[in-house]
Amino acid sequence: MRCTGIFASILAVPLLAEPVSFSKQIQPVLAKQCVGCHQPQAMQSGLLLTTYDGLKKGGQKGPGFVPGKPAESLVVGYLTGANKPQMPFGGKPLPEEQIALFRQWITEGAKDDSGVTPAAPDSAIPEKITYKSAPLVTAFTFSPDGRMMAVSGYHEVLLTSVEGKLLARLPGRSMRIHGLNFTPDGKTLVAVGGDPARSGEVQIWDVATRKQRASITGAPDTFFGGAVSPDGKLAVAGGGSDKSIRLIDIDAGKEIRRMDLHEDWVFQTVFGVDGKRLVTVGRDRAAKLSDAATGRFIENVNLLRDALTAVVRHPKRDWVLLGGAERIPYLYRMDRPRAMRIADDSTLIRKFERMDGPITALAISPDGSRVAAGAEAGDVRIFNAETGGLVARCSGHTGGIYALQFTPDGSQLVTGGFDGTLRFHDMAGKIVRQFVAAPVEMSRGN
Amino acid sequence: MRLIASTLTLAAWACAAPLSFVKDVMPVLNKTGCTSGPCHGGAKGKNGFKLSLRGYDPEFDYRAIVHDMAGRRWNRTDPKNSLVLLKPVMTIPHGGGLRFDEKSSYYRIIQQWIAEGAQFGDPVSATVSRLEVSPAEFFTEKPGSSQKLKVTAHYADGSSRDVTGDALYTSNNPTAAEVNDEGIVKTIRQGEAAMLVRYEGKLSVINVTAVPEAKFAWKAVPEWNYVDKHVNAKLQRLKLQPSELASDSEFLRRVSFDLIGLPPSPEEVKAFVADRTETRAKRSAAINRLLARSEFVNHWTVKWSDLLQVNRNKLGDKGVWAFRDWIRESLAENRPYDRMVRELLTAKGSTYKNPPANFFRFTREPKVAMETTTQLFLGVRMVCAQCHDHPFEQWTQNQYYNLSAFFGSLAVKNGDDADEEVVYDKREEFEIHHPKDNRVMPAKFLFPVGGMGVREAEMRESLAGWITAKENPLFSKSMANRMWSYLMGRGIIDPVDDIRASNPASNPALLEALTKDFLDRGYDLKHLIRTIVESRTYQLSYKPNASNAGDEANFSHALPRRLSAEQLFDGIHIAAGVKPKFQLVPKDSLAQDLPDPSVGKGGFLDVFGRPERQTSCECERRSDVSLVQALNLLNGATIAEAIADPEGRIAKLALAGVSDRKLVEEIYLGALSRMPEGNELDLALTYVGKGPRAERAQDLMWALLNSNAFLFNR
Repeated sequence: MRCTGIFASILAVPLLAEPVSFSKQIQPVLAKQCVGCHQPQAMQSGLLLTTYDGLKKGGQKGPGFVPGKPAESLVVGYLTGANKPQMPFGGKPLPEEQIALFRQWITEGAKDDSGVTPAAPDSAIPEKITYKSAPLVTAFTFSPDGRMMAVSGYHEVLLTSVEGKLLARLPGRSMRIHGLNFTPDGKTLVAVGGDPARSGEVQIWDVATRKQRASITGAPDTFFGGAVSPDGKLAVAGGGSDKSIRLIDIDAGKEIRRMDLHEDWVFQTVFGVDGKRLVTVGRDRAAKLSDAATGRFIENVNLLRDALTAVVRHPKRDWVLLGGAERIPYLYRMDRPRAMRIADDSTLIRKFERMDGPITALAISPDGSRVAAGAEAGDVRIFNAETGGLVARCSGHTGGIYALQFTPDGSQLVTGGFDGTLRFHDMAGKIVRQFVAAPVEMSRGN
Repeated sequence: MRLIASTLTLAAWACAAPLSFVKDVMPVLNKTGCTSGPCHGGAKGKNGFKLSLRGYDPEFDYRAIVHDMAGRRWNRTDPKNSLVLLKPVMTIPHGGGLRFDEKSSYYRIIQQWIAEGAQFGDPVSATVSRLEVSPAEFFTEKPGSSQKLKVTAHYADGSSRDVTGDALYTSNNPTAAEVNDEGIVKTIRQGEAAMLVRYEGKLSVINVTAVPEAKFAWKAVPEWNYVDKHVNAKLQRLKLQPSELASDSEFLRRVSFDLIGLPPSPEEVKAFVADRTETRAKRSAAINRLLARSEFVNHWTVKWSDLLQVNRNKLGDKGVWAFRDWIRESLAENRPYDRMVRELLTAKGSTYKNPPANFFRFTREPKVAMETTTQLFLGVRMVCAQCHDHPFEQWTQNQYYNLSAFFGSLAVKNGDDADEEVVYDKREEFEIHHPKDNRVMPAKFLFPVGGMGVREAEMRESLAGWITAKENPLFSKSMANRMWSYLMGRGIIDPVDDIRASNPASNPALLEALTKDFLDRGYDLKHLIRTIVESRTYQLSYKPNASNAGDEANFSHALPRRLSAEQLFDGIHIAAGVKPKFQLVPKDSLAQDLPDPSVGKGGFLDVFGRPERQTSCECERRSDVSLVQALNLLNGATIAEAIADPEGRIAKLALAGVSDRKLVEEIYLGALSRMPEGNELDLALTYVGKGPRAERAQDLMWALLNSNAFLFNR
């Protein structure tokens, strides 16, 4: 078999009259056989094979190919086993005719006919979005004056009145919106999100004109969290899979700093009272305090326990409320009165009761007197921030909670999630109002 | 791996209820490998996406797909843009590769489930209550032929569904028969295999047998007891003719090693061979003599001490002797097995004054006590179920903690003596909590037995009663099987301490009969041993014939077994006619007399696989053959010193001035428990006669002790 394989490869080049196409013949092989390990999330050997540029640039061992010289090209060496370990790693070697395609393509100059788009392009902005059922509520917020809400839709942000009247639709390229924040003057809306496993985006909207002022892209996965500094100049987003934290200059519409402090995905971010410091949480279990001006890591706020998904700050103090997989909300001081020691938990102010299911969202009322937590299993509870006692449970959901907020006057808690309905609860937990923000087509019994 | 299309059709569902996660989607995740151990079912999941191992926890998996990271993995508004579809079809790079394509039914099921609202479904009606596989057995006289299985899932709500395309198939012996993803069984060669069929936590086993097409004329063989009847019935069906009866000397060596751990003396061999009594009666008499020997107790004490971890690191110096004495006393009086087990499981108080309490000195902790108890006395391994439902058994994670709760109050504290400990029941913090949600798990039996209930005030007594109940199908069966394996070299279910549906008995009727006999005789261990070794099956030669050479599992011939460390060591010393010299034990103690592995540590015995006694698994005693062992036999001090001992057999024979012929015969009798055969005598005489006599005699002994005829019990 070995002999016939080599024989076929010698014959292969002259037999194929047409030049080999990267996008039609090479890239599909890479996509099926190689990108499992050589993709943005894995990047084995520092090599990215989702794009032509990635192959050209190569990884730790050098460029993927030398145009015109298949015998000197690493990709051929690794596929044939001339270089060890033979690729695909741990799998069957590619059939000789596929390797022959690589040889011929490199012999012909290794040209890129794929354009500049990556293998899996971002979805474009759809012409029209129709909803057969309510989309998930993954994020929402109130305008500073409390009269308007911004709510996540699919490929769009929905602006509604607090009574649920749809005011505007702000379509964008990102399927999912994970964070929504107005600047304190209410003039600008910052939305963070993206397409899962494909791209992340920060959108900056001019609220008055409903126009997108900037779209900041370039991340390999959706952004999470998102916060706006108290002076309205900076925004921050947690960069999901690339574990980064990105600082955005809102006026300039540009990313100004990327911070790599976490060891795993970053899910939520918040500014300190003076806007100079950040607290970010992620799957690495840490709530990390850092300096926004320099990007410098200061210290961990918490004792590491389990993956964290949510962080919010007290309205007036540098206190943060944390929660995640451990199901318990913790209230921590951002500042440590003395030097940290191993297993130091001296900044913990209060521990609230364990929720039913992992915590997905947290909120502190504008006056700081109430704390609310929402969980994956649909559990929502309001606590007394001072005593830690349970004030009320909010029910009515038919699935997980992904976002919750107090109304700006602090009189109600609003929740949203799996069932796509926004519910307004009073402080006793009673539902006072509910609506779906998205325009759902009522057809065929839906 | 591209998976074949499911046999389920969407048309069948067109007018039914919306697809449900638990009933429709979970089987896809399991079938296409998403929930497998190397993928998202692993302890840490993959790339941040974790599912339960083999889908044992659908609620967890639903949350992971639907709710984790705010519903990132699915897309209600545009289902085909869901990550759970884009990844497995590799539109988006997927570390797990291509699992299925857009045209597969798997894709359509997930897409439709999302489009219909991604509902969890009703877990009660979606529970598979029974798995029906047809045909129930596949027997063919044409090795190489195939059979398609049909798998039907019956649900708790009374409905049923053909799940042939979605069930998971594995063969326990792929060299004999294999099975593919579509449930097509293909026999490869003559032999037997069990096909394990799994679907949503239920499993079923289909036995596959391929026998040669060639004509086979069964030559009737005598049946000495019911063991032979059941073994021969199976052999006849498989077209296997049992081997000839072993010779008298072959039998005597085998049964001596098996019952008393030592070879017969040259005098015993000569007398036995010379005895003209009818073979069966003569052998039966020899068996009864061996069962009455004091070495019977010594030998079986080693076995029980292995299982009960008699080891001074765990039990302390005095504890070792106390516990060992209890084992010896039980064996010496042939205490019924159920009573022994009840004494162990209900033991309380000082480990000095009440030796069976040492059982809890080495188990110590509720979960370990439960795992050890089930593995030892029921032959069931529960350890997998600590973290997830057992993948190849019906046991669930809940049951692991329900059963552990019987030992919840178990506690050990220091006694009066520095080395003494006291086993007692604590009165607080005795609850066993489920690790998932911390709920308190009530004590529950693994399965109901004769309406027995749990007596809250007497937890361990309740459990001991349930385990040792006559109606408990596993207790007597596991011991019958264990004893069979000790004497026959292989369990009817093998490994013996891993009884599960996916590890079926090679001869269920035989095991049933042994179990029933053991029960009828009041758990009489000696009777069980006697019944097995009195069977003609036990007494067959190890030499195969044309039909049975390939048989390993049906007992058509004796299976040669490497002698255990103690048997080898004692056998060498008996052959050489010398006494071993161990430290810390009475003079002239044999290896079988040693209390625990701390004596003779690091020496010959450990090289040959004596266990440390750190676990109650049979697997801890190694019976392998290694290079280190071979070198030890060739060049090691144990054999060399024993043979050259001035007090030894060769020195004595040489001094007595026996003839060369007598010298050679005695060496053969000492080492191999038989007279020289064929041209062995001539060869040996020639060798011994051509050099210094004593030295040459030593060489002969050395050669014999290095031969398979000595090293193996066969």
